Amino acid sequence: MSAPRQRTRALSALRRLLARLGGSFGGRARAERERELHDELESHLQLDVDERIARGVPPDEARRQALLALGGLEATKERVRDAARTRWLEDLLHDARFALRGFRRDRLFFAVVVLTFALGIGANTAIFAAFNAVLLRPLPYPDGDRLVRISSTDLRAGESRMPVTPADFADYRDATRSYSLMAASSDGIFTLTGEGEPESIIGYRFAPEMFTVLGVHPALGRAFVAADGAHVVVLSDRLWRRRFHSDPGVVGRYIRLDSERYLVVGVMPQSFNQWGSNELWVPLVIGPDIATSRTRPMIRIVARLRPGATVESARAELRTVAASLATAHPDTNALRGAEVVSLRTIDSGDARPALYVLLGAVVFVLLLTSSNIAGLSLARASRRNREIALRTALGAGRGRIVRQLFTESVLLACIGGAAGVVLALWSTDLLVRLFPTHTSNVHIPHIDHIPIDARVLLFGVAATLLAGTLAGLTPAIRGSRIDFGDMLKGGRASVRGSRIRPVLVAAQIGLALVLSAGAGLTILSAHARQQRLGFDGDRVFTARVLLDRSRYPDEARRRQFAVDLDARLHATRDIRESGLVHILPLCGWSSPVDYHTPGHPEETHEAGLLLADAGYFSTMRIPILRGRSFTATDTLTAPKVALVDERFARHVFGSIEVVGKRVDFGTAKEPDWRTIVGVVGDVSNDPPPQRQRMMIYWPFAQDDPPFLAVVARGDGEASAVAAAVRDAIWAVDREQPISYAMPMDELVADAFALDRTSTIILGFFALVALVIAAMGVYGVLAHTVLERRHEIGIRLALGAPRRHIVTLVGRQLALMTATGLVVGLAATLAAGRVLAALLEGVSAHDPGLLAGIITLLALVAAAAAALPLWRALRTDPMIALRDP
Amino acid sequence: MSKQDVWQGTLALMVLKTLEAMGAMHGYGIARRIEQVSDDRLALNYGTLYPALVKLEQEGFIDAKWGVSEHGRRAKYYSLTRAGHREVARAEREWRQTTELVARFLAPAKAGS
Repeated sequence: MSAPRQRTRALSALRRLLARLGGSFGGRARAERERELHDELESHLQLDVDERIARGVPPDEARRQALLALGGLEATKERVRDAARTRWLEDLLHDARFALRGFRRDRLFFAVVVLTFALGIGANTAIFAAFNAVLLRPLPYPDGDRLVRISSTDLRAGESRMPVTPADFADYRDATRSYSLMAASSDGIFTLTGEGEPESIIGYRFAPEMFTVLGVHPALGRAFVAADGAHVVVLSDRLWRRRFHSDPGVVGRYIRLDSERYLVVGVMPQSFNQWGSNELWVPLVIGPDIATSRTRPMIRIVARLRPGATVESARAELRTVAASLATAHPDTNALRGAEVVSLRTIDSGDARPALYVLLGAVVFVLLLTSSNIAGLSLARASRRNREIALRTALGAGRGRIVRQLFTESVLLACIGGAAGVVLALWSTDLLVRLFPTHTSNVHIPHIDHIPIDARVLLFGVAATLLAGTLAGLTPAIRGSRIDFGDMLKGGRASVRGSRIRPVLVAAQIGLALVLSAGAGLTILSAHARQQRLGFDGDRVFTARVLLDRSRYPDEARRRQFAVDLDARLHATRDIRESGLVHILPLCGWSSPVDYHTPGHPEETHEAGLLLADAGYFSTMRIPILRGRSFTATDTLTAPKVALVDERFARHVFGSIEVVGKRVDFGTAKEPDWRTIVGVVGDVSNDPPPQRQRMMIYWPFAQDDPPFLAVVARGDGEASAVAAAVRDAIWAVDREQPISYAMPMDELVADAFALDRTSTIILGFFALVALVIAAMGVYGVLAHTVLERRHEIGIRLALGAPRRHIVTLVGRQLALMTATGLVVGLAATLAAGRVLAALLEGVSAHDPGLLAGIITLLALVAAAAAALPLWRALRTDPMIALRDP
Repeated sequence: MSKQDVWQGTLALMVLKTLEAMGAMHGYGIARRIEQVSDDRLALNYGTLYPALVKLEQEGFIDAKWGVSEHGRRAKYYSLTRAGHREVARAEREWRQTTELVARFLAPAKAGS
């Protein structure tokens, strides 16, 4: 007795909720219904009143009695509204139950559709989860979207995000009004000694107000203030756990950095680990000697926008300031601009294009899976024609049938969507590999897990509803148009149904073309980038050495370290070849140098600079194209020499025959002429997606290396080479920390992590697209053959040649495929314009690739047609007689 | 089944049957007719009639049209649709089977002989 009542109660609660949700929709129709209801009840009362008056009841009393008999005007209205609303909910439940019963009868259909939905929705949810984790996740600072980075730009070289000089910083700060607070910082490298192995640590020098700008507070202790002086330090949570065993007692103790004593005043919270790879913060002290400098760019500025200011307005204002500085200080600031970029943009900048490409591609996957399901549902609907016709005949309205079919589709999408979210949860492990683990200073955030949070789930629900709607629309509209008269008589599938499916399949082929072409281009581009590394890192082991300035205070000692290390490395048995360079390729660091254009000494441009020795080029197999490599004679006292890469030679001189030419790398007051002694091959020094710059190489012996890296190649095990490198370094200086010891291959893999993983994903999407297109072609042709088996049987019985049957099937195949390919090609060419910006080394309209993919799709379509064709040819002519 | 469900099912049948017998009628007319047929033994709360009418209309058993009453009042007139006619037949059959069944239980001696 109570179950139905409970259900009624649950229904009415749900109904109220939905009524509230639906309140904003269909307002006009609702007002209309309300008015009509009111009119009807008023008319009822009037009729009742009339009759009561006729019986002699006084008018007022008659009205009162009529209202009483009705049970109140508003109460009745409410009861009617309730009845009207419950109806569609009951229908929905009924439809859902009915659909589930249907699925139980049609298990294969159910499984295929749910899996397809799961794939489409799961892929979308997973990619969105990665997108969400990188581009939408909150920054680890309160109100982080109001934070901006202010940098200088080189107006001529187009270089942006350059550090700011101390004097410019002061002017930016004093002349702008867009910021509530602006603070300076600069990065540095510190050597931590005293506890365990010596270690090079990347740290930041923070102006004390930087903590306020960022809005962060230490988890332990306090941040430093101006009164603390220079020798205090705040540790990162990471460093605190790793080096100090999470000991809260470290606050108040002294640690040794660069051989000086620093008082630990605080430890930052774990959430602050995301701030680059830095491990500690010490006060930034700008001495009076450099405070007025406009030639030493060393400051990185973070500012918080004042309420009302936008990044755009702040940028416009700062450009004006930079322009006035250019006028006031033409000799230093003439070519210097300024840029304001939100911290969020910088944080994820390099991952952005790849994620947009993936997100775009995955939408195509959703369209494809939905259209595939629409095709499957149409096929199923044609088998259900009799059922639908019967229901129409029994008085079910057209809307009712549309709703039934639609409910089925959305229900399938919901089941598939739930499976899809589970799929997405699993696949985030794969997606995490998009993000490099070792490459620093690349603007790709380090992400070790991709959360499926509320926003991702909401996206999954939206994708589910969209997919269900897309897949359900065509079958529902089609299904409702079945002419039940015909159906009850003949029971044969109506012809109209088979006209929509070929259109769907043509669309699938078109979508598959766009998706595979996009994937193909991205893969080719990534491949081209990896092909043009310009060096061979196989079996090369690397280690970086950041010399402690307190122990190597002068140039001579630093140079001596390099000389000693070089000798040691060459004397080691496990190392066959070795070399030194100051920055390894693809590690994310770079150093620039200005050169004067030969023939136009007033023009200076920027190129990348590397300090290297001869061993670097031979170990890395970087070819010497012209002239010679560095030699032992290129000493500090010898004539200054340089190597340039092919890019530089062609750009500056228009030819690679540049040996013997001289280039000035100095300033107007202090020229620094060097002779080009050789040309080397181009090397990918900057990780993708950054563009490669022209490179200049100076011999290690003729400059002061701020830090250095070892490249070593051995015949034995990688671990043996690694140990040999470590021993060589420690043989020179047992106190010297070694950073980032790893095989060169690992560095390469890391730099291309985003590229490689996204090409795997895109390749997978393209494969899914091909499979779906093949399924579509197969489905339509199989349906055609089944539907026309009588005709085929009769033809064969009458002796029609088999090629007629081939033509029958072939014509439909050709029409679908050709339409799909033409439309797909047009869409691909249009999309190419968007994609072109992200491609390197391959044209967005690469004819070979497009031709290849079109051929592949045509072959896949033909292969999918083979089975239906075979069936058609084997049709038993007797079928025409047996089953008329 | 709850009382209300029985009542609603019965009421719906009464409405359909009334419309089948009398042709198009307005809500008040249907209510009065049901009272008269039941010899006023059934104290009908007129308000309960309208939710039943809405449901029947949604099910496609009845149609509604505005018209004018014999005394010149505007009123909404309901009439049976084709599906409604079939529904009356179906519901009548079902009702008869149910009452027969119940009747057997109420008179067990007769059924047992």
